[in-house]
Amino acid sequence: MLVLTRKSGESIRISDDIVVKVFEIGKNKVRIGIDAPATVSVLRNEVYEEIQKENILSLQGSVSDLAKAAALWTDKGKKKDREK
Amino acid sequence: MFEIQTRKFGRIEIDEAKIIVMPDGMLGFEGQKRYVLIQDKGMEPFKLYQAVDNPDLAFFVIDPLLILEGYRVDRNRVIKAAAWGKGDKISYLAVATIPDEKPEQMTVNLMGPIAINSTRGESYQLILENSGYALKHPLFQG
Repeated sequence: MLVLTRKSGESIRISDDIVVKVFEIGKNKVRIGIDAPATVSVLRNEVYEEIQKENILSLQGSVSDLAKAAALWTDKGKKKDREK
Repeated sequence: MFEIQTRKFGRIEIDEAKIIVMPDGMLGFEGQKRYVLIQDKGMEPFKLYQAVDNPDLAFFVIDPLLILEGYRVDRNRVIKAAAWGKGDKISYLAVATIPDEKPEQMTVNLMGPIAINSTRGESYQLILENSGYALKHPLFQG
């Protein structure tokens, strides 16, 4: 990993179309601005990891539980109809 | 038509024209790029988003509009990010998870839907970071 030192207001250019700028340096956090084309996905890493984790959990589900969930869904629909 | 192997349904026949290509894959599974949607009467309204080239890779999915009537994704942003056409037909699927033997605790990820462009047979998993949509939206509670 490339490690650089930057001061507030300074920036880094990645390739020819991405600029990362340090806006503010606090005690335990930094504010960063990112300029990138719309096709480049910029995300907090935690969010990426959370969604990846949900994907993995979805794979681990069993088809028999899915069939039960489908039955629960149908029941829920019927209950809603009765309430109408 | 040709056959693919699936862990959950064994060998099934699919229509090659229905294959959806994911240029970036699913998050965490970037290497698998071809998927098909499998429907079965016993699991409606859920579907299986099955990788064509890996029998073990099948995600439970559901139309998010069935869960949240007002579910909305910024279409213009999606079109721009994916370099899709303005007139393309785009729909969404949310990935569902079921804790083992607890179907009543099923949740749906409304924050990371799959955008499917049926005009192009292409899809991307989106991340709607500041949408307020939940990562684990409960289906049967609350």
